[in-house]
Amino acid sequence: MQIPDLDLQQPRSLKEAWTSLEGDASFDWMGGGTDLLCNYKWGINVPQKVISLRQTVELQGGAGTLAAGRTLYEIQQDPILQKDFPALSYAASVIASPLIRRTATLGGNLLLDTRCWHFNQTLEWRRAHGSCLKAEADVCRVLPYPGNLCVAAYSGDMAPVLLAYGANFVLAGPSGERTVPASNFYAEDGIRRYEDKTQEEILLRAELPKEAGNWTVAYQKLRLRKTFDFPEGGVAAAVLWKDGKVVQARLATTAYASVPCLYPEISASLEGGELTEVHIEAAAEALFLAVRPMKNTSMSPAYRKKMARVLCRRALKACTSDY
Amino acid sequence: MSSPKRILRLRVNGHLKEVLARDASTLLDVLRDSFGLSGTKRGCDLGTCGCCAVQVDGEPLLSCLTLAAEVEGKEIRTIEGLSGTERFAPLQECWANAGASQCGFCSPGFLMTADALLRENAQPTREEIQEALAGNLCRCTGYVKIIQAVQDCAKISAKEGIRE
Repeated sequence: MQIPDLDLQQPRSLKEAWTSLEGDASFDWMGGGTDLLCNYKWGINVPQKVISLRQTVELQGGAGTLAAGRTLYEIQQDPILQKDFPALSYAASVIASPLIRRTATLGGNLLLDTRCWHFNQTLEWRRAHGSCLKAEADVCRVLPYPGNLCVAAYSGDMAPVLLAYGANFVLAGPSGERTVPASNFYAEDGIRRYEDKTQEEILLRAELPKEAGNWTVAYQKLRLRKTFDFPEGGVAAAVLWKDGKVVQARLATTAYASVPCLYPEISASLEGGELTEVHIEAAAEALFLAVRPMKNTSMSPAYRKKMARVLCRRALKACTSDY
Repeated sequence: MSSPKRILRLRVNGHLKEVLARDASTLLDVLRDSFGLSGTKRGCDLGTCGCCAVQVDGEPLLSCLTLAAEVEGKEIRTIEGLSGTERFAPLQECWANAGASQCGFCSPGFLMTADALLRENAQPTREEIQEALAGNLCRCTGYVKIIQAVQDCAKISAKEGIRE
């Protein structure tokens, strides 16, 4: 398979990146490109111009940072992150395969395009079967009525863990930088994807609150194989302990909707007391009821929904080992 | 739309060569079509089989998901450059002796990934080998002999103090 013709730009700075946007050519920013290039090979939404941010200095960062240009392998191996934020290193370590993690970046995973059985297919498949809202057609194949909202699944593994840590994202645009809470960043629409990020804006890094290191965070992922696969479901649990009691909690999921989700009501039910089996089971049951997976990935929605309960139970139990 | 092309100066297996390539050409396209290095295999072409793995500055990378223009100025190593001589590299010897290759299509990718592992970690545990090779698929051997070959090579290097 050949990638269709496109113009590749490799800016070394943000200024150069925005300069390369001059003209009205359609464009994509590219981190590692491990997902984007596959889509291009399948003729999915190929832009006229691709701007690779691999050499853009403002996206690079050293040990302990969450710079968007760091590879997932670097995040996985980073001794500072392993010590202070082990759930982040773990989540990075279960993304795709070791070879992909050498190229794929944190920024690319956070801004991963939403995925769907009807979208991530070859042009021939889409022509034969009928394309979808996110590609060439004007109707969603998963929810044909009303059919005007894309329900493709958000499938990044880093976002739920960063949501659990209470992270912010730092964006840069031609008019300056701004910080957005990760919880307000994604929009529940598989095509629009972001609440108010403009296409010119670039994700520079994720930032954790000062007290994030005090939280115990665990991530659980459901996938077909132990390597390669995108999550069919993912649950991150975060607990802030004091004297054996839960001061604050957060639950976040991935792959259950077109956004990574937080569940403040379920989290609130865990706060103020000990985290017993009863509390864990109640939260797991509540999460099972809350998630609404669609029929758009490899596993059945019913199984993915059931597994939300299991993943939540495992993630919360993993958090109890820390008090 | 026109087809943007550029002249790339790529260093492959120690040799610098200029090639004309489309902006959209992957490293795999260029290695096979412009350099004639067909040892690097096109498997799934989507990053999920590892057959196209090469080393870029010593790191194992998927050449099917790397744009050729992005590795200019870097040291690219393919299966043809693994030994650097007419003879097999020690890792290839171990591969042959252990029967780690059946149809052989995946072997170049496995060898480049395993070689990178042994350069970073000369005495890997079985689990570390499994983890490092988790991005390469083999549909013939069942992996047991592949892992055995890497372990054998690590043993030989420990005994002889060298690997090449």
